[in-house]
Amino acid sequence: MKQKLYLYTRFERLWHWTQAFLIIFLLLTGFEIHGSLEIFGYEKAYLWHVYAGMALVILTAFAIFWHLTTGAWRHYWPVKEKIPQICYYYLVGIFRGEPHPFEKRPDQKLNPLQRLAYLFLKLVLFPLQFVTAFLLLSYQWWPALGISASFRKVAYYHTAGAFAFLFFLIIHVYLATTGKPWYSHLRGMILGWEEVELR
Amino acid sequence: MAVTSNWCRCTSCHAGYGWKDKSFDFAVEKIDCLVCHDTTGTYKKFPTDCGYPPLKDKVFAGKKLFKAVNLAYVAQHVGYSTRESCGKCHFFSGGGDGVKRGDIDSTLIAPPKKIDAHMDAKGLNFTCATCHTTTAHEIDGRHYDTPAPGKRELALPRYEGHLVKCEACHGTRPHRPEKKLFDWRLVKLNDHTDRVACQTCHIPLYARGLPTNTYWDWSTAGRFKDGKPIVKMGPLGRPEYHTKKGTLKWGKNLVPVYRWYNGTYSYLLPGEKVEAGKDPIVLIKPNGSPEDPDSRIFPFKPHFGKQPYDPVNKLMIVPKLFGPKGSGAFWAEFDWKKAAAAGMKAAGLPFSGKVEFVETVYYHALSHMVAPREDALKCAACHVRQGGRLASISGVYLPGRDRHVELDKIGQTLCLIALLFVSIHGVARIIIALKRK
Amino acid sequence: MRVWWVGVIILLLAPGFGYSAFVRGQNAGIQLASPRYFAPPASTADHSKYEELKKDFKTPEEVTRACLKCHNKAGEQFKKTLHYTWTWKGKDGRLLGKAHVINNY
Repeated sequence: MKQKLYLYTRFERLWHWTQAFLIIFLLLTGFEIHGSLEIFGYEKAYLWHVYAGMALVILTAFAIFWHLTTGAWRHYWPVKEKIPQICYYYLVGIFRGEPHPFEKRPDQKLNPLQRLAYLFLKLVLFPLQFVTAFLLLSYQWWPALGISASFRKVAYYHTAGAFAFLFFLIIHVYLATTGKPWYSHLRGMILGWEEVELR
Repeated sequence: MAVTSNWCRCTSCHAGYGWKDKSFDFAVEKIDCLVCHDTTGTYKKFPTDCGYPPLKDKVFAGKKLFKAVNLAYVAQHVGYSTRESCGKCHFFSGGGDGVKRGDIDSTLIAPPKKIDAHMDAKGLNFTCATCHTTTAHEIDGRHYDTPAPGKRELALPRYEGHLVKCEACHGTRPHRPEKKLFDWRLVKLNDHTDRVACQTCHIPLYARGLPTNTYWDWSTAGRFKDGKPIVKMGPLGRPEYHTKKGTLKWGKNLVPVYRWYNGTYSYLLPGEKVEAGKDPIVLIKPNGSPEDPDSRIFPFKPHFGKQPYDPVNKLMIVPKLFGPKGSGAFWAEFDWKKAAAAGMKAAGLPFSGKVEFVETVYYHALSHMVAPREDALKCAACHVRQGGRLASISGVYLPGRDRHVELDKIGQTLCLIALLFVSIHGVARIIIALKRK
Repeated sequence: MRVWWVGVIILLLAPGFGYSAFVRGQNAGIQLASPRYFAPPASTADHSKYEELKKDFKTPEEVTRACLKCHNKAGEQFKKTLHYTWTWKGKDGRLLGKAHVINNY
């Protein structure tokens, strides 16, 4: 039996898609600054990278506020259950037409693997990029701020973070197509309502 | 090549009268006040008269007429120095208009803004002394191994006597928004000032006025055709070959080379041993390093040459070029050995009798002909992976040029593996789904 | 007549205008752009009126002597400068300056 559930509120969807756009844009402009791409021209790439980064900081601030006030942060609390089963599902079960071992519900929207991945993103990758970005932007004020670091090393970590984001993006976009039918997760993220198998 | 032994030709640009040999008496009466303070434009020194102006009409090199100077008229019309009065010598260094410097030539008498944003005759109309602030005849500027005076910071509006550094008027964060309150672009441009000199971006090309000499091969000098000296003109209106000078190369709108520079130079002096190797011998080189907080990345004109060298004593030769027949002067007898013997004798240096020609290079800091802001270099001139203007500059992490190669490899490999994995996974899903149908 | 709200708006906007005027004023100060600012001061002497200079000078040295009669410190000042000596004592004691160095021109 299938049932339509309202999983993603308006703010969540707005936040998700804005963030998605910003991260893709940051990757494009960032890798242009890094010298790997040539799309916008260096000056524009730099400026827009900074603007997009600032926008992402502001968006993140709103998101943190929203998650704390609504209690939605609980969705990211890591749990152990079913992790091996989910891994088995993606490697084998999905090809045999088996059902997903995890059942989506409004009070537990994210499966344990998602919880781990997104928590890592929120606790490690975002802070890493924000801190290194702040350092790269403010390097003229390092002596005044009492920071001793090497620009080269900070750039190293910022680039490493960028690759991690790119890696995440590839996997994330692909996994978004593994619903049934293939676009059901995507539609849910756009409209808020997703058809979920009830057992 | 050297002033020694070529006195009267070289000292025609000396602010004095009669420096014709080593024993010149630097007395106050021998000072030439008029060359700097003439405002009439009629006072000129004769090119071979040891600093004296022509008192009768005189012809130089069989062509150029120098009119007799009316001393009383000039004396009655003295005033502040002008671009023209300074330029009488400084525009013509190296023996002709724009030959040596590349950033100073006679177009600066009344330049358009394109050539020099500050001297712009219809705009700011600076004179040389506007920046080269002068107190009691002491003119600000770099003096050999001593940097130009003044701190690298805003000196205005509380005037501290030295305005020769760009920062004196423009400050250390010189780009300011004109219309907006805040412009992130300018913030980032300002961040460059700790490592990049103003000149680096704002003098995008040199020799924008007249052609400048880039290569001077003395070894070919002294050829004649049917007993007559040869002067072969090149496309830029400058000689490609000149019997007195040798083979010459010229350039216009040239891209500078960039070096770390702390405002001082090192010099190879005649009499100092130097080994001739594969690379050109550096006669004059800028000092500086990325570790030195006073050093900046700075634009230079390199001047390459091929000139006489004593392979036995390992000394650069000071040749006698200018002089009458019988003195050994190259321009009278066209014999390098005689010229070397006469020149080294005048310089008080040993000479083995052997003359070899060696490649040399000499760097000129480019600080003049600051272009208007729209002509300044754009980011990508340096921030590119390959072929950027600062490709050879070490000691800074230059985004766009520099990267951590291993990190890039690991990151790209991981992302490619992920892409490959999801592709295979996806294709397998599609195939299975199609089969089920 | 409700004029009071006009007053409120003006009060609200005043700091903004004040600030922008301040910023513009700052820019004007930095743009030392007026050519007049850097023009040398007008001379206080007309040299063509001096008897000392109304002479039939035979040599340029005579002119220098005439200059130094009034500008009696200029000679000693200029004597020491690089433009006259072409010699600069380097920090390591070597003699630099145009009269001592070599180049490839």
